[in-house]
Amino acid sequence: MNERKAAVLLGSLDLMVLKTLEGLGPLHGYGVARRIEQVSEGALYLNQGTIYPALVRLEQKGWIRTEWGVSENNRKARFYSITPKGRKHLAEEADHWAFAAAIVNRVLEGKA
Amino acid sequence: MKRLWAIFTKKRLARELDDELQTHLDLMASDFETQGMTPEEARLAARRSMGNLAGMKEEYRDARGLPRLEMLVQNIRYAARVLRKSPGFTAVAVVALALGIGANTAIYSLIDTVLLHPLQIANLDRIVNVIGTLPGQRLPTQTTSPGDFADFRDQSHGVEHVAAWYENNANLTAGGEPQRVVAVRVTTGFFDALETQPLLGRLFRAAPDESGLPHVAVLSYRFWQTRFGGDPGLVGRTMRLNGEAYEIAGVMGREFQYPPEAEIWTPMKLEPRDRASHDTMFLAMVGRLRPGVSVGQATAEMDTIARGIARRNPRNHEQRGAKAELMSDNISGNAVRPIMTMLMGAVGFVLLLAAVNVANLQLARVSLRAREIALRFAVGASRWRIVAQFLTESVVLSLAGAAAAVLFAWWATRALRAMMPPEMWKYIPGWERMGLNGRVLLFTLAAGTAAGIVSGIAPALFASRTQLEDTLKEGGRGSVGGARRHRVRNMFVAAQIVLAMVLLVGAVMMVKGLRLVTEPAPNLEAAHALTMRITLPEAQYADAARQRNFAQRALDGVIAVPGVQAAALIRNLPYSSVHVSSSVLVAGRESDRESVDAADQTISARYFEAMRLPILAGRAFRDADDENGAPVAIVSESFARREFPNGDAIGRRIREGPADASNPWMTIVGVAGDLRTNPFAFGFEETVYRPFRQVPVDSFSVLLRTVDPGTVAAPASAAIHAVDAELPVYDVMSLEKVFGLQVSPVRMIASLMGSFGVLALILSSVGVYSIMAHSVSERKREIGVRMAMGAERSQVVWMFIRQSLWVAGIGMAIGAPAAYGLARLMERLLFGVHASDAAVFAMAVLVITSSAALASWSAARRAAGIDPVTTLREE
Repeated sequence: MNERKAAVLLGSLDLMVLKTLEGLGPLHGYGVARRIEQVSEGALYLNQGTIYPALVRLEQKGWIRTEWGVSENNRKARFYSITPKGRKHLAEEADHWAFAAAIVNRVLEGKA
Repeated sequence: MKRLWAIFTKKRLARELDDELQTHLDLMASDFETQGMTPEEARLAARRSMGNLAGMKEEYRDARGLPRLEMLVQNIRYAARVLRKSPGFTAVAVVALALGIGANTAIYSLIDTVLLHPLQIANLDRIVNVIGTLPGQRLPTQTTSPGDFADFRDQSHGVEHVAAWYENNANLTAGGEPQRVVAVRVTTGFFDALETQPLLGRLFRAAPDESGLPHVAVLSYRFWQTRFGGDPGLVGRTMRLNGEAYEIAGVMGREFQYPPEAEIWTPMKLEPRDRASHDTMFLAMVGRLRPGVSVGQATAEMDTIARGIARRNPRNHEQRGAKAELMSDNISGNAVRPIMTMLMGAVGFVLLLAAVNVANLQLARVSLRAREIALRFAVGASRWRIVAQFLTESVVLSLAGAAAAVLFAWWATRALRAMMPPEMWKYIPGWERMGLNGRVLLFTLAAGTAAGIVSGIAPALFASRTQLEDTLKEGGRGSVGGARRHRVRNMFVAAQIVLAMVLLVGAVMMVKGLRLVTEPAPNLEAAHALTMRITLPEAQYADAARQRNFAQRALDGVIAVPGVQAAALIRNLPYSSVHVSSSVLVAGRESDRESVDAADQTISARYFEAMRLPILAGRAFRDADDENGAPVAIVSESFARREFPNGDAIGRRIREGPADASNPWMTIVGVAGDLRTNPFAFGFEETVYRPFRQVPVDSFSVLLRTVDPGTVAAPASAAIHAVDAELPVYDVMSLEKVFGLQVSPVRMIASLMGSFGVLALILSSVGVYSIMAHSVSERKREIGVRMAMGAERSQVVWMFIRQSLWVAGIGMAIGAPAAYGLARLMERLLFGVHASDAAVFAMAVLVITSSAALASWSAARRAAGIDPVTTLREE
């Protein structure tokens, strides 16, 4: 059950990462992971195994960019921020997501 | 680009990732601290929550770099290292694959030459022959009349530059020995149709008025080399063909050789009289497809034109149509393609056998490498990564085999080329070119890759199923998925036996069949007969009286040569590739509908004696069977049996030609033993022999029965030249050689099939040995226990032999029907092969069983040598 829940949500991980970065500005990987955990109220736990490959993927698509900075605890850290292309993608995908989710909900309710 | 770069900056990226993860850990730990943990607790908790760090890093690397390419480079490096570390395995596998791939490469170069690129002409795939057809059959290539040709040429739209040629062999005198040459007369469009240019000099091209053509000749490269030593100053000189002077206009390049046996091309005149002639059919047609026209469309158009011709010329054209056929197909002939297909199929089996062999060796190694695999899983490799690794290893191995195969194939193609005697080369266009080329090497590469994938897929899948826990539980000895993998390995050995069975049966049948076709009939003692060929020039020997006179004087001359026991003339020697047949009417059944086909032979009186062919009934010809005697004939046993099944052939009368012809009735005076006309022919040829004195011909072979043909050759030629010094005496060779030349293609096919069979046997024996050896080493402990419990050594050995015989038995049971299928195919291709030859199957079973027993015995002997105490202590 746990696995299935994670899988469904992971499909939209890109969106959540983009949305987080859009809302909070430049963040390091840990910050992104914590933020998503907080927002999901603990329903979703992201470890590095999930978050870092996702960040690399988004960067390769040109939706986010990185720069090196210094973290709260004075360590060298990579900061991620959203690009204009990323914002555009986020807007489109968020609409799409909402639309799809609404349909799924309607169908499920109708059936019940 | 960035990702490509990433491959080369791997170290820096790894460091960066480590930094990033460390930051992550620290941040997490400090969060935990704020929640009340001690720094130490927080650090451990953070560490725990990281999960599988190695797996994550691998995934991260895959995303960051160009994963596939990087992985490939890594895998290849790793594979090379692994293969270097086990030289024994690598050597066996590379040799097995090199033999398999090399044999395939050699056969492919044969096909590339003979079937796919018989001529090196530009746009060969656009050049067609136009060939006459009758319902359900295709007529020989040279069966168009001059009038028909003119109609085809003038009416066709889809095929352009329609030209005609016919073979018109001639006696050549150009200083030195007179010589018989293959001269081809061609219409002026011929060289345009083939889009070709000469190496030296010029060609004759279309002239507005074809009747005024000069006597010019173009030489083939081969003829220029062999007859004139490649003399560059030859163009412009004169030579005499059949007594007429011809100027040498040009020399063709080495690549142009059409028709394949042509030595000289001369222009053909088509007089208005010829254009009207629709009855004599002797021309072949060649043309070029117009752009965008397919062979099928051209066939449709040619057939329509042919129907029109047939309507206007009903005589001899009944039901006649036409088709276009790619020239490359036409050259290689109908018999070649199925034989090449058979060879390619057989050699493909050899490669499959080699691949299965290597798969089995690799499968054995999977268990030896279980710990290594488990370790790779433990450090985060995915299953796909393991599959890819094993497949890469297999392909690297196979490509190493392919590299070695190129050497092997280089040697094999040279050996193949030498297998065909030079006298035969002119009948096989491109033969001297046969060997490795770019297309062939591309094929080698493809075969190598395919073999690598085929042999690697099963080991890779098994490797990827290695269970981490099981491997560790088995005390690091690492026997993986034991029972199932054993089943698969046994299956593989059985599969090898199946393939070996098929190939071995094919090989034995071929070799056995070859023995049946080496001579046209048994007991001819061909080594003790000399033959030579003579063609009388029309100018001096136009009429029958002169031909008869020459024949008598020549026979008188050669019989006087010391050592000659009997001398005779024959129009066409059996197995000499020339063959004339005609329709025959039997008295009492005289309508055209009842005419039958038979080979038409003309022989002198003592032919059967000289040939050692028995007279089964009646008598041979006598000197009295001459122009003044009553017309007589001798028929072959097969003719007699077909036409006179009651055995009453002697005394019956037959007549040659169509019903309305006025040929005389001939009385059958004898029945002779049967002969085959060529090694690929099935059954015997029904033949009618007629006496030379009654129907003389201008081209014939002289057959001399003697003890040693070598010593008789020179004086016999001299005896002929004593009658006519200008006459070329050619193809002087023993009868054995005449037969040998014609059999050489069959011999080559048989040697190939034979070597495939041997190769199959070796590979499958190695397969049986390797699985038994491996099984012994895996079951050491069991053997130790058995022996500790009192089992005899011989019992242990027998246990392994029994196991391998079981597997071999299953393989043979499946292989026998498959082999029968192949044999049925071969039966249709080659005379002398009988699919239901039980002895061949029995022999194959015997050979396979004993080699399997031998291989497993030598592997199991090691088992018997196991000391139970040592083995059990080892555990």
